[in-house]
Amino acid sequence: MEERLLVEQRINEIAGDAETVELTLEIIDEAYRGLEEGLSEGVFERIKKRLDDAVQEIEGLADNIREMIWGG
Amino acid sequence: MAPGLRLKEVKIRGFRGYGELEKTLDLTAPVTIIFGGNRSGKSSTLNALEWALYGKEVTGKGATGIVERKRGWLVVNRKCPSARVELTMSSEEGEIVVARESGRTGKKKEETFSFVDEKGRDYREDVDLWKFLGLEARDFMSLVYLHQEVIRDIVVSDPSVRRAALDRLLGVSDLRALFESLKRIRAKDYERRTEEIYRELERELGARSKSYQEQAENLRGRGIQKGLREEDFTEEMLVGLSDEVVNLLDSLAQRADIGVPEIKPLRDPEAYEDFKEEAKRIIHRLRSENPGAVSQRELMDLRERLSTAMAEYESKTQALKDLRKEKTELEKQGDLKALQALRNEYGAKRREIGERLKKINARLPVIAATIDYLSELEDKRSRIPCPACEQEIFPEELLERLRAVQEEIGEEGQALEKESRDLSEKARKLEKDIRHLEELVERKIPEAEEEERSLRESIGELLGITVTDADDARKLARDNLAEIEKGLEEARKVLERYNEDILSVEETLERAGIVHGVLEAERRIENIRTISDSPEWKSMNQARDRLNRMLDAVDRSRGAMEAVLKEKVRERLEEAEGRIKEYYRMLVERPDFESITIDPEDNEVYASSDGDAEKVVNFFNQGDMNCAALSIFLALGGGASHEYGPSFVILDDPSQSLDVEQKRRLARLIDKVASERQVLLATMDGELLQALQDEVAKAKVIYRLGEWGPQNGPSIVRE
Repeated sequence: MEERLLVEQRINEIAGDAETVELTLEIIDEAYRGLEEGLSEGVFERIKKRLDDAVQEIEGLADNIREMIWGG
Repeated sequence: MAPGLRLKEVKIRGFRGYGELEKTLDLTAPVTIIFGGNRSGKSSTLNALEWALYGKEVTGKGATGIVERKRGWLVVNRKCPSARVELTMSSEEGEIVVARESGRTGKKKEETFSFVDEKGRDYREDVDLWKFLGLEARDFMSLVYLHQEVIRDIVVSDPSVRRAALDRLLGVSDLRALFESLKRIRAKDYERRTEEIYRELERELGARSKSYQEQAENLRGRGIQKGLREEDFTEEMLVGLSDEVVNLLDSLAQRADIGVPEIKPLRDPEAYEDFKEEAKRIIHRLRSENPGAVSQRELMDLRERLSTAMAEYESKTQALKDLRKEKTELEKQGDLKALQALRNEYGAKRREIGERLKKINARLPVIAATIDYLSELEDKRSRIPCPACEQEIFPEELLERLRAVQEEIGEEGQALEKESRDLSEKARKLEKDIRHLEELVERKIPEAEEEERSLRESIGELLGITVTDADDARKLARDNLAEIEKGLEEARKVLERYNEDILSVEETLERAGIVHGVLEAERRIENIRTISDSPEWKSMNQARDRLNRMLDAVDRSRGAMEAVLKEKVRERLEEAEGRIKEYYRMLVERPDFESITIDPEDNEVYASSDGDAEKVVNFFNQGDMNCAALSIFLALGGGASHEYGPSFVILDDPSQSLDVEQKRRLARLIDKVASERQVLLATMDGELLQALQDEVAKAKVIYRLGEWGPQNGPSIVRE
């Protein structure tokens, strides 16, 4: 726990705007939850899923644009 | 987590080398030594603690610990039905009891586990114990339980294993795991995937735009061929052409006198497809329901029926004619009555001939018998009485007369028979003609006449007039068929004109379609050109920004973790540095390298002296290397670097490759360590035992494991 506080403190020091800090803290939170679930693989899977979801969102929006052009 | 956990007691039964008889070892002393030869059960004793705490984690497939050290490792002694280990530990708050039992019920292997904490709470899941200890199996192996593999992990193994072992000793495993996991996230992969999505989309948009461009050009070309001008591809022209379609359809519907739904003029180009479908539906109706087409179908139908009726009538008329001709031929020999009278005449004559033949046939046998009688007389010249009438007769004379009569009536009979046969033949032919004539007169000719009349009436019905015997039905029908042909020709001309008008509507509709197609393709090209200004495109850009911010956040998180990790490693190494050096000096006396340090960057163990540093793995002998690992383990393990978990270390055969002096030094170090942490040690080394006996001032218990029996396991003598 002490280490996590230190990590969060570091983030507050090195990260820029409030939004970036918040997002970075979310990543940290996600990583620690992954650690509770399944050690390092859990951490990797959780963060990876979050990023994959973001890529999929872009892919979905690209498909919507295709639909707009192709469909009408 | 339990701070300062100490060993108190272990009870072992049926585990590995232990037999059915349960053995109890008191472990409360600062130093407990288990001494015995090979296969005496000393390692089984240490393994019993490991198994009680971690079960399948150290024996199961893919586990670390016991199985890692030796394959085919069996928990339950072959002579025993089950194995049970009960380990009691203590803290300032009370006792902790862990019990694990494994056995077989039939072929099924069963394991039970219980853990009671210092407050008396009972747990049945291993994971509750591990949380309580604050150590997982692998941590326990690095932090508490020293054996040859741990020594190798600390100083010899490849960097990742060595770093993992040191991380556990330094208590930074979690931080390292977090950092390494975040390091595996490759921002470039995501950036590349995003770029590919954009690139692919832009490529598709470009291709589609080109395709629409070609489509528009093709349609323009077709439009020009259809009479449109370059400046005609406008919405106004589309509306104008659509109005023309509406007017033409109205006009055609009126001309054909067909009530079709009124089509609405096109005002919104986007509604063109609906307009086109409605127009096509109306065109279809005008084409199929117009009177010209109906009249043509009706005339063709009448022509077909009239032609058929006429053909049948002609055939029937000819048949009737043939029947009448047959009748005339038959009546040449007389009408039916005359023929019937002739048949009667033939009958009478045949009866008369029959009577005459009957008489002849009656006389001939009498004459023949008389001739035979007279012929047999010897005297034919003398008068004799007649045998029948007894009158006097001359046989010779009578015989002659009888023979003449026999010949005469015989000839007459033959002539009559011939005449009778001729009459029969004539009568049979006459009978046949009579029946044929009767058939013609009474049935066939009346029936044919009736059919001819019926067909004549049918023709009359088709012509809509009454046709009598006095009329020439064939002529009437032929005249009418000629009229029908004229009507058909007229209908065809009307229909052709009508269809030409419909084609004209269709062509106008096609031109409207071409104009609409060009406008639609241009609209789509414009859509593609301005797609990057659309809300959807902006949303996609925002999603990409979010991903990039997230990747940035991952990067920052990784940076923060790396910084804290390094800080912690450095901090803990600094804290332990003095103790590591002190322990090393206690174990090793090397004037060339007086001290050892761990480099936090590469996790290598260096031996140092006066500013020089060398990796120990490069030049230390095995004994010195073991001493270096022991220094590090004892300085950091067993609670030395942690505020929680076990406050004891377990050393399995720690004196390997050590000389006598180093063993004495190790014994002194153990005495020092034992002032803070319990030491449980197993050895077969008599020199180390002696050194421990001599050098350890702390209270110590020695268990000598002696003779081993299959039933009772090792004999244990406490000193």
